[in-house]
Amino acid sequence: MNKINFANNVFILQLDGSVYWPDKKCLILCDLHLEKSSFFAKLGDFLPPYDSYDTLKKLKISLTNLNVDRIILLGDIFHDKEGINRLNKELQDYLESLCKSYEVIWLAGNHDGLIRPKFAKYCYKYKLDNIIFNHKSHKNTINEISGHYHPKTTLRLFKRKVSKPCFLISKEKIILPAYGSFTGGIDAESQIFKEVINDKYKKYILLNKNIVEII
Amino acid sequence: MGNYTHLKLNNILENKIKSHVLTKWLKKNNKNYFDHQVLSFKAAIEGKDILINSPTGTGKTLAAFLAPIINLENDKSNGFFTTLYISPLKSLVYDIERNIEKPIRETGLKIKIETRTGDTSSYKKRKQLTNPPNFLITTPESFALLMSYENAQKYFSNLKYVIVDELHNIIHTKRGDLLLLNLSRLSEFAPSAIKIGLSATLNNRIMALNYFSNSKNKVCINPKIKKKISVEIIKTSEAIPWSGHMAGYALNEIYYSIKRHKSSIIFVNTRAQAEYVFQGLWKINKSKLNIAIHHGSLDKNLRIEIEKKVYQGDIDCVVATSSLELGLDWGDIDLVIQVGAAKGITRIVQRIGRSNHNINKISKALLVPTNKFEYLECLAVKEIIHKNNLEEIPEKKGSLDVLAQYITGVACSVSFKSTELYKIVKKAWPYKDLSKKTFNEVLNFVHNGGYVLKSYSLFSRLIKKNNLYSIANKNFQRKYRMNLGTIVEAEIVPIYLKNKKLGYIEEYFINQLEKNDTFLFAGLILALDKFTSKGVEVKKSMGKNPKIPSYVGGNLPLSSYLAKNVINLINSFEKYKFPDQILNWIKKQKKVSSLPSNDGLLIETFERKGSSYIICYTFQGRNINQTLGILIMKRLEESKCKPLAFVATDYAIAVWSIKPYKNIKNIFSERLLKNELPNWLTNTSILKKQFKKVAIISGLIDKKIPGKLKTFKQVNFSSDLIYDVLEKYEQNHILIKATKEEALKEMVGFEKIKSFIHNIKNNIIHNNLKKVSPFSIPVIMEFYSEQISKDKIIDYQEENLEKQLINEAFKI
Repeated sequence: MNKINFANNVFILQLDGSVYWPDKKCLILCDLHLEKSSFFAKLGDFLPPYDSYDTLKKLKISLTNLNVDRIILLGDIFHDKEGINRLNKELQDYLESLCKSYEVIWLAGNHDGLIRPKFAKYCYKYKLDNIIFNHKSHKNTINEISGHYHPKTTLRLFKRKVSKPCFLISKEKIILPAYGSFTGGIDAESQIFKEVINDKYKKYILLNKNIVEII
Repeated sequence: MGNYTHLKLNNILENKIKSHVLTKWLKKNNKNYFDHQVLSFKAAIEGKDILINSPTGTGKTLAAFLAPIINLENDKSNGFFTTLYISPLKSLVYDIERNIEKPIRETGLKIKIETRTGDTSSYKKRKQLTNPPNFLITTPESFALLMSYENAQKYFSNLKYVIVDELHNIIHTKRGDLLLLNLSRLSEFAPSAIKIGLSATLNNRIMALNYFSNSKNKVCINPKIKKKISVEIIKTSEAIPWSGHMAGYALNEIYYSIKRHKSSIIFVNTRAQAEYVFQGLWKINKSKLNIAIHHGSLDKNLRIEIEKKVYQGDIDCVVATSSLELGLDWGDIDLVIQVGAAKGITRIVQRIGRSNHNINKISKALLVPTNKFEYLECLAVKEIIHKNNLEEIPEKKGSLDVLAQYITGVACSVSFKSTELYKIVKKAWPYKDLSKKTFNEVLNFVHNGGYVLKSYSLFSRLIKKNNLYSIANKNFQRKYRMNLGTIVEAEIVPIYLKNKKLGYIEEYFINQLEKNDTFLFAGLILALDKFTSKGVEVKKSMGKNPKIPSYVGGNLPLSSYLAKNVINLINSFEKYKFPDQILNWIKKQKKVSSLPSNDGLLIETFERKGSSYIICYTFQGRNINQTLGILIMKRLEESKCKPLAFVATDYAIAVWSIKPYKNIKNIFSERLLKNELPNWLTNTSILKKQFKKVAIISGLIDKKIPGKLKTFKQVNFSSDLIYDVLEKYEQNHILIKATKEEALKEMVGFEKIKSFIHNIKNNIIHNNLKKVSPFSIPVIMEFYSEQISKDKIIDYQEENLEKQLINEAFKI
């Protein structure tokens, strides 16, 4: 099981990169970077326009499998501030319906901070019980769940290097991997994380069927 | 002399030649035209397209320029710019200087000749656009750029001659595709321009002539001049190594050879080899010879300086990578040393032929095998050269990624109708069979990505108005010009020692090393420390021998013709006087296993470092072995043996897996063939590698420019990620189709595989060995392998995990 105890609460890490909080029936995810491909299309790189669809399909499956009342989106939901206008009608409708069926908390990210969603609760910071939600981790905040950095880590399997997204979990913080289909990442060993996280952290890598703790 | 009656010229032509100052100048220097030069002049005046086929140093360049020079006064009556000369070689500057500019200068002819390459200043380039020379000397890429300018049609409208040099170098390559597409459009602007192709000796001349000319009026000129070639294999006191691609063992003898020659060039296959040989030679350079190095990582100015020095004869020896042979002029080089296998007869003959420019002198080559198999290969090369057999250049269908790039270029220049552009494209040989449907798919890709299920309604690269396509904005024009070209270099990362940048290293290589693995770079033995956001950090190593001795033996496939000659040598080894070490190697192989034979297939199996190995000695050349490798991987997957990777060399295939495959005799059962070849490829590393090239050439993602990564964030896009999404949602997208086509070009057809399998299936000799055999060592030590996908690797790991969990559960 991918159950972890964090700040006196139980959370379940999900294979798609989200975190489920059973007590609150709450699903937490971040860095969807929707419409990243169309952002690049504007610059002349006509990447396959299926990233938003792929990402939201993943979310839909998670919502069907779990008992969710509340969704916390930890920022960078869109890749840029115009992204929401480029999302096609079908997916716009889906986003809207989500906001109607669930309580959606929408945190501003550094990419999409200027977007004001019509139906969701918009904020820069969110607190539920003793847990603090940020887009980007604040160095001295404890009991914090955040995103922003897209952590990933590299394993050596059968003499091969395999790099996959991962969760970073310390006593004080959880940093989520990016949820979006077209997102890169920063290596979990990077100096950046050592500056942000005060104590030791564990890495939980997302494999094909399992989440595995890397020591 | 001075009488051309045997060539049956008419009086007018004869007078034209005789009365020209160039002819008089030649006479004054006790020289005269070769017959083929006069015949080329005659054919050009008669309006024929021409292919001149002869070794280097036989006056081909002058032959091509004779009509443009003699006829200049007539030709330029309507416009100044009469002749376009295109060569894939950057050294064309020197070549033209020696062959054309010197006589023009000395005769006082008023002809303006200018060059235009990537090295030309932008000021000069701008000036050339408004004030063109009579003769413009350029490369296929710079020509493509010129064709993308809005005034291209007017600029080229008075053109009388287009000369394509070194045709053998670009025929049936992606560079050739790009050139021919642009030439086809040029013919629309200047329909009467004559095309003149120059080529080293080729096997199939008619094919080559048709390749660049679709005029009805054309001729091949084949002067009967033969260049004498001498080829030797180096004799060394130290033993030839088992494997690898370095030539450390032969450095003393190489040094001795360069000392005895005026000027030599050492060809190696990789940058790493170049570094190694260069450093090695300087260590023993007691006579203070002037030894230089020339490869892609060098600073541009340094490179140009070295090229100049080689041309002026100021250098005793230059170590160069094969990819840069195009940038070097050969000046007075009198010895060619080839380190590592040359992979193909035509290639080596052309290389050797460039030494000793004078046609009457013998061209000399020294071959340096870097491992034991290569010794046999060198010997086979030597024998074939003496028999004077050249292999055929395999024909290649036009690549779709190049077509996409070309269409973008056309749109930058002019607005066009799809039907009209299709007609022009079809006139280029590589695209003669292109269907309208495929053309439209490529056009749609250029237009707005060409996605079927979802599309970009807001953005497009082209604007379509009244059935006319044109480029949407100036940014896309600039982007096209920055990314133009069909050569995709291996990805490189910067390498740092204590914060000092040492240079760049191939990402593929460094990614396979573990911490503290040692390797050679910039003459130093270094140990990998860590990867950072900047690149790779290394430490100096105290050790004397790098742990990773070598990588990549050059990715050129050996012709299957050559491979078959090697197996013949092995089977009749008693007839040859091999050096002892080679003889012992063969004898040992015979003792512990068997010798591969001509009419059966030798397969060896053994365990090594926790993996099960299968080695098949097919001697079919790399293309067929690559295909068979994929086939065996599929077979092992089906049998749940968990294959990890395979290596396909020209001689053999090595496959390794976690579990052994039991039924070796049936490994090639024909049942495997029920699935079509393209389907085997899905999700292989081969396809993903190809996709990256296709994505860059077609303009889906930008070229990586080292050092500029930070500012060009978009190029950081992982092509693997894009491939996965495309494969998931739009398998029929034109880029997937293009990728498969390119991958298949490096393999062999279904029929060939079928007949191979049919021939050997009842004729397999299987030796199950306790350890590696002498012949298998060079194969399994090969650095480049085709690996199973990362997803599969994760699956294997997770299966192990589950087993562990079950075991733990039972323990409790």
